Amino acid sequence: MTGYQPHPWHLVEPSPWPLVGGSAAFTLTVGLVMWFHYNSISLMILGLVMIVATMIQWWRDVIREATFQGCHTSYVLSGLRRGMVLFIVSEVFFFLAFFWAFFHSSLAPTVELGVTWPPVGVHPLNAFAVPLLNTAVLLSSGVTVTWAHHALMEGKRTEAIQSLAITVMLGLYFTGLQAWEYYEAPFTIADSVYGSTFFVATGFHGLHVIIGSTFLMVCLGRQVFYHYTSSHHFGFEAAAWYWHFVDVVWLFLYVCIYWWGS
Amino acid sequence: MYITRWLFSTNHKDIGTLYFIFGAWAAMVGTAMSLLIRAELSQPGALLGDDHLYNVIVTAHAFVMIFFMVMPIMIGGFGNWLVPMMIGAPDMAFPRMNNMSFWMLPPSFSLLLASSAVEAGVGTGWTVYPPLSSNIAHAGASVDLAIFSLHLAGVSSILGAINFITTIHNMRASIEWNRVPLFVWSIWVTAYLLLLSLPVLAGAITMLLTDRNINTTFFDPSGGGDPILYEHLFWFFGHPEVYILILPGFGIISHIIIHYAGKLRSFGYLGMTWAMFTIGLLGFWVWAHHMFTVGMDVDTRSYFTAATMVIAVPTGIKVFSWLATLSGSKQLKWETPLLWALGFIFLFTVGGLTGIVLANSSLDIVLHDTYYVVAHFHYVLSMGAVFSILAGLTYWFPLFTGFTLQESWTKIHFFVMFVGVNLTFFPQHFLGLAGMPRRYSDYPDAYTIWNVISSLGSIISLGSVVFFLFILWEAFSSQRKAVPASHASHSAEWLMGCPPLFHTHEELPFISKKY
Amino acid sequence: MSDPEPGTYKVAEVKTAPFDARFPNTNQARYCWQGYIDFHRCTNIRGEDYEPCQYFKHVYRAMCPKSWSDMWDEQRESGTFAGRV
Repeated sequence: MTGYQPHPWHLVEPSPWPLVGGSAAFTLTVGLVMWFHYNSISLMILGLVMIVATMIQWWRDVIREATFQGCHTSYVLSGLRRGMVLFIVSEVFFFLAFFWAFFHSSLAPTVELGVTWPPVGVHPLNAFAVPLLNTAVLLSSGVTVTWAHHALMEGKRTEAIQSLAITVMLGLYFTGLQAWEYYEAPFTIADSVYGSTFFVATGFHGLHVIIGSTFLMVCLGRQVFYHYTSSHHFGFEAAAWYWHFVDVVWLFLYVCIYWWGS
Repeated sequence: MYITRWLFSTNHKDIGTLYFIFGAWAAMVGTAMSLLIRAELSQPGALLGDDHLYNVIVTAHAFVMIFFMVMPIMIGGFGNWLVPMMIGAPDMAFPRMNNMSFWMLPPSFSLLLASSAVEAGVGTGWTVYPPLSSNIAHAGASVDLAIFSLHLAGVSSILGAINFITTIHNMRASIEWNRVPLFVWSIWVTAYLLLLSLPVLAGAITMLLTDRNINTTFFDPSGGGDPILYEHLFWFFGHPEVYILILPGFGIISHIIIHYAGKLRSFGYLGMTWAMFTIGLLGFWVWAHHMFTVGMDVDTRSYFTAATMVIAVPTGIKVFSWLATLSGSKQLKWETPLLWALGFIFLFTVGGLTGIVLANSSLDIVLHDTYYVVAHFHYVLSMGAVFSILAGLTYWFPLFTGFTLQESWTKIHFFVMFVGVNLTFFPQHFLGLAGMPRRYSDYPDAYTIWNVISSLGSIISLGSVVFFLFILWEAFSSQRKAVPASHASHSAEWLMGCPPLFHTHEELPFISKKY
Repeated sequence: MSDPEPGTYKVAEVKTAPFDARFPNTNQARYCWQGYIDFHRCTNIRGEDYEPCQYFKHVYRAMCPKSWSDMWDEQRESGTFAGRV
């Protein structure tokens, strides 16, 4: 990226990570088949390691281009914004499938379930115990991430670090509480379609919480290392959008599956 | 150097070329499978000797043609090459991600081929309905491999969709929305369909995966689940998917019609764009017309019949606008791409009309899962999508390669293929109306004659495909240089030479308001 | 019903359960279930001899596979039946 460039776009240098990423996805999927059918997890672990390694190196390159090379002009940023929004939209439709499954199963419970929801014999978790605490935790984290954003925009470095750290801790607290709930739950994933929808929907949400927390942790690190300016911090904004998305999915899960569904 | 250029590429033209090569290879695999199908059905009795194997081939043929031939060529190949050049952008919005969209496909294709090769293979059809796809009927790793193949193809397409939408929104040099070329619009609508439908498929097949492997019962009645749920989720994806396969073709045909009619714009440009938006939008609200026989109540079936028929309106707008663009032209050039485009309009319309027949839920009760359906969707795909691909290839070949195809040979290729595919698929209407069901490896003697004719047609089509490979080889061997001036055009992709430079629009173009 | 005269046959009127707008789909499993539940609720409240309850019996006899109603009968006896009757 030397010399005069008569356009505002970022023409990326050739990169090995897409090819490595494709190979990693191949390894992971074959590894999962090996796990399911041959009870061997080594290939799956290798695939996961490769995916994490790809992500680290790919986004390391992005950070270099954005923060240190100045490739992310306002035009490039506007593209990144659209890209992130579209990605979140596709995620929303992924969750739509699980909500569809939940309502299909619960609005007209079959004879096998006793024509009632929750099914006969399934004792759901109390929506107003830990799940309500979880709701409070996630909503609070939504507040603290907004606090971090404003602190960042106003150049209050310490405050931004503190509020972001609180957000990450709330995210981890949520994950811990969910893990405990799973452990305590009196039904399993194999206990009728109730258990299936419950664990798969909340499980994918939990996975997204872990991803979002990691994303926020990276942002925290970058803030500590002075990567962000008060006007140029899209990495943080993307993490915050993602976090709000995870938050809203939880609200729907809480209202539909935990509360109405019990 | 070559490794960097072709494996680590961040260039939309090179990635587009990779997609073309991949798609062409997959097309050969898919064609081989289709010939196996027609060979099995060329006479009553068994040829392969294994009914399940026949179903495995049918399933793989569908997957290969949909996910590894039509989609990579149309969206990956034509889309990557043309969208940035048409909107005046130097490349795609996310060039590195663009490359990962491509590099998800070889692994995905490998998983699909593996799914056919291990154990007994996937004999479920491309719909992968449970309980046939559940452990009871498909034990072993086959279906799991197919599910993961779909996962990876889905990731590829979702990333590609994000990339195209962002590029079209963010990187149009100075082109106003109402001057965006129709091919770009077609890719835009297609990308939105991909973005909104594929995640639902991902969810559905993930639930199928957990049903098979970790004891969930989403689709298993013994645990209060419902196989119909899978059908809803699948077709919420599946119906938009069939529009994904044809919409880029609409865009290609529009450009070719405009060019050979010697006009600057399509008749009814705005109508053409809004027709595509409408088709895309309605595509999400008609899915249950694929499930008329599952026992839905009458009101639901009435709704889905009516909603499906409404789609004929925007489709009609497109067909008549193409004809209106052609009409009155004083300088119609009868070159090969125009032949393909006219063939497309005629045969796609035939497929569309049988679609209206099938949209009637009461008629569909009789015709569901018969060869009438097979004939219908091959008229819109094998003659709609594939004709538009061949139209686009013959039209833009000089742009992509810098060389020209042998004109009279490509015309012969067109006529041979035209006869071949019609001979293959038109008799299947009769078979369907006579009640011959899909996805069986044998049939009663009464169906023999039309099956023989159909198989004969497939041999003619195969001949045309081999001939086309020869035409491609000849073009690359003879290296006749293309003269860009002969393609002075209404659209910006021709303005930068044949073939264009590695990066075009390094300096952003300014689009004048007057043309 | 009087005995038929010798040498003549009387064909009993065979009627399935009528269409019920609550169950518009082809799959009538829930109609069967509802009929079974209604019959047993009805007889529990009104007693075995209450004539109108027989309507529900007719419904579930018509709509249910016999294996299902037999299974549910066993479940009711052993106290494991899922429905509230």
